[in-house]
Amino acid sequence: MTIWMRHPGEQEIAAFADRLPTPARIVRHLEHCERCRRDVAGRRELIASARELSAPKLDRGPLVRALARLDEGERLLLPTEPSVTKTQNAWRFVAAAAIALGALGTGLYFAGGMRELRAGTNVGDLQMTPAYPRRAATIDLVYRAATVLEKSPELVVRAEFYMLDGSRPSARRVAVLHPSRSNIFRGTLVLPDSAAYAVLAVEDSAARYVDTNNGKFWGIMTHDEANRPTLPAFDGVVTAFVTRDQDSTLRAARRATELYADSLQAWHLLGFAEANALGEENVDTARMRKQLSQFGDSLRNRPDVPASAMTTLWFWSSRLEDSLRANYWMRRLAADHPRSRNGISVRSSLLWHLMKDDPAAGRKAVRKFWEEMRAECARGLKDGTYETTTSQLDSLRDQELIGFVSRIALRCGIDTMDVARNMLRSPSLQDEALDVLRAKVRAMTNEVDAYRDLGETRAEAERALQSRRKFAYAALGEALIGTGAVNAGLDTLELAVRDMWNLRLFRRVAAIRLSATDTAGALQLLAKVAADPGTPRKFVDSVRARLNVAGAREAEWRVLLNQAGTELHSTMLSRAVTRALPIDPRMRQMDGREVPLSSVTKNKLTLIVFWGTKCGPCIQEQPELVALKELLARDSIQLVTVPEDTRTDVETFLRKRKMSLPVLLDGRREASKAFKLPWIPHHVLVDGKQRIRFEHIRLDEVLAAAAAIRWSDSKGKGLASH
Amino acid sequence: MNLHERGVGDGDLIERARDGNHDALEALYERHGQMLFALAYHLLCSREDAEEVVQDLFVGLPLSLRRYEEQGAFVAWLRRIVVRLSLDRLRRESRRAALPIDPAMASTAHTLEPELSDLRTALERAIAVLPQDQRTVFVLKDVHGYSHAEIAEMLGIRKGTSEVRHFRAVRTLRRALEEYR
Repeated sequence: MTIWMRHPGEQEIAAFADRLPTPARIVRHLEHCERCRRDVAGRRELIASARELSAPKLDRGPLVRALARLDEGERLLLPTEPSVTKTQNAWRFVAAAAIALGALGTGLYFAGGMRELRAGTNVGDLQMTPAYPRRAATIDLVYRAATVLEKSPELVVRAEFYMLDGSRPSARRVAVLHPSRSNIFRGTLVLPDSAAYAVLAVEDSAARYVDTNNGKFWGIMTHDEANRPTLPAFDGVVTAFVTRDQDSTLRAARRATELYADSLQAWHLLGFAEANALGEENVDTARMRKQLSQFGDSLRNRPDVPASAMTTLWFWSSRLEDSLRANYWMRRLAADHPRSRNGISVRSSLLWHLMKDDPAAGRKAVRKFWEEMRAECARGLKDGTYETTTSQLDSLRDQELIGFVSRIALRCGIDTMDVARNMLRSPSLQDEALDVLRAKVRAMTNEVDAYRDLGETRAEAERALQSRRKFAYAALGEALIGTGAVNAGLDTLELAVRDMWNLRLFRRVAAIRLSATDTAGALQLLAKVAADPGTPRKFVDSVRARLNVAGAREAEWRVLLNQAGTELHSTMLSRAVTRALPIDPRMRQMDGREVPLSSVTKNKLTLIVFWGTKCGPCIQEQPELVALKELLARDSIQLVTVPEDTRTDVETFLRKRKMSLPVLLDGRREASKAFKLPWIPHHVLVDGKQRIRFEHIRLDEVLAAAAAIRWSDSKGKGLASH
Repeated sequence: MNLHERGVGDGDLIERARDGNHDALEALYERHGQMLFALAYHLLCSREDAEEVVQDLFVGLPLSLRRYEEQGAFVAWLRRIVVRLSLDRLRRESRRAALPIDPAMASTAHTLEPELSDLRTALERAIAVLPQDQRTVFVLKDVHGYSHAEIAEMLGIRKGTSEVRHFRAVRTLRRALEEYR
């Protein structure tokens, strides 16, 4: 009786009302319980009424409108796949994340949601299925072409892959899209087995135009069995967009910590993204310290800590200046994962210390280390590893060992230019180095695509390669002269200095020409150096004295100077841009006051230098920058430097080095975003109307660039007044 | 051949619709349009939105039919797409979350036909003011006859979640209808 008197649960009543199989206990209860019978009756009445619910009559309006849209060429992809399947429900919110990130533009999948394929003039629309690709998945691509691409007979998809081991091979062609119907192109791509994330761009087969989705590209994150984006995929997003779109990195990293709260790697991504997108001072260091001690202490006694976790522990400990922990994890990484990417890099820096302390033991260890690299060199060998080894060997002048290491490095795909330059220093390796350089120049001429970044047109890649090729020519020419092939060397040097403006190269080639007794050739280049506004008067005088420029030669020199001036303008202007800043970034002065950048740059030509107190190349160029300050002032060019660090860090840095630089802080990273900061150091010339006129210029080009801008602007005014 | 004849199966129409044949699309519209519209209408509680869903469905059919592998019933495939399109619309616009709770306003939010019985009118009003997740489950389950397993798959939720939402919807609706009585 007591059993009958206990009322069944709502679920059981509902099942009975639905006429589903019901336990006898419930049936017996219902026989005796009026209240529950009323409940069942009420439910059944509700369901019966619901089944009879009607809807208004549908007229032909929607059909007529749909056919009209089809006639206009509109194509829609319907959500034919479930947004999330039953087994995936634990991670339903992942779908929302994917949508959020997708809307952000990282081009993650649109989980099941319908989206119209709409294309604009420069930007098309790429859709990818399946929504949750696994590793090695085959992806269907449907692309509605940007207007500039729609007439192409076929299109090419290029991709940059982010591999599970953290490596990142250069961009390559991964799919060909064929037109299917009115402006829709289709194709498939197969993800490499070890790729965690991919970024895509679409282009015509000659790479004249590249659709980068407005610089946001399209991304493919690999997913796990529960249809969560994998952690290495998030790592890929953060790495891929750190120089492209920092808001995307931040959102991806935040999402990673939500999905993988128990993973140190996810917290590392967040800290890393915060530092880049929000500024060093906005990294939650308290949280990072907590995570570090929490994870670090629990992992310390475990034998099976993955390499990625060790790297993270090492990275953050040293960043938070916890040298004990940093040292511990660095050594464990080298010991436990000697062949991981970061393990190799740590071991090479440990070798460096060993060579310093005990050269004989160091040499032996270097040989052993590189022999091991030779055995399986493809595995994550980084350029830095080679540099660390050779910079130390160089100071030891161990030519035999440099040759040994360099040959292995070449085989392992380390950038050949660096290796060749290194080998050229050893007379016994020069012939070999010449072959390497020749091969390099050939590759840079014939295989532009191998050097072409994702999103770059072939013309842009050609331009970027040109200056690298020039240095290769200069190195090759110098080496040829060194080996006695003087004429071939001089011809090669001619190739190096043509169509470019580079004082360092001009001086170097002029010196080589002089030593090869090509005085006329040297004079031509020295005239270029003299015509540059950055060249001190003293240098010009010494050239004139040394080359005995007087009398009849004076006229020749004047002609050369004139030619050089014209060449300076035309060469520099061929690289100039005129692009307004999308926003007026808010900056903070060192006294804490906030100012818009425009208030500083208004009506002045301004050189903006982006740098960082922990950035080696930035620190290296600072003496040059300090020296340039006066020349800039002389030419009425304002200097502003924008460090990535906090105010305290910058103050300490400048005080320690007894330097003074005009600093504007970019705490909100608004300037980094406005200038699309690709890396540091980065130099930009901005005119008085807040327009970028030159970017990616070297410090020794700044004065020439400024002269070219002024010349071109005055010419423009002159033309306008006519 | 007159595509509107009953003898022409969906299979033939699908073939033609894939190529964007207007007659085939029109025949499919006449055959299934009303049923699909009703489904969208009940989910969205808005005639205008439901019509747009049907319109989008027919714009997308030619392209999407190429992926249709005829492994399941065509009508079920269409219905699933309509559900997804409707949910997508709800998600995108989050319009229903802000739907006024005032029954008087709810009744203007959708068209009521004069011949509807009072109980059905009251039920329709009560459905319109249900929280969106509960309404979706109730409409799919009790108005359109899907099982909890099917609903769970369509919405990407657990079967248990679907059941819980359904209990809550039924409880709310019954209270609303008792008040009406």
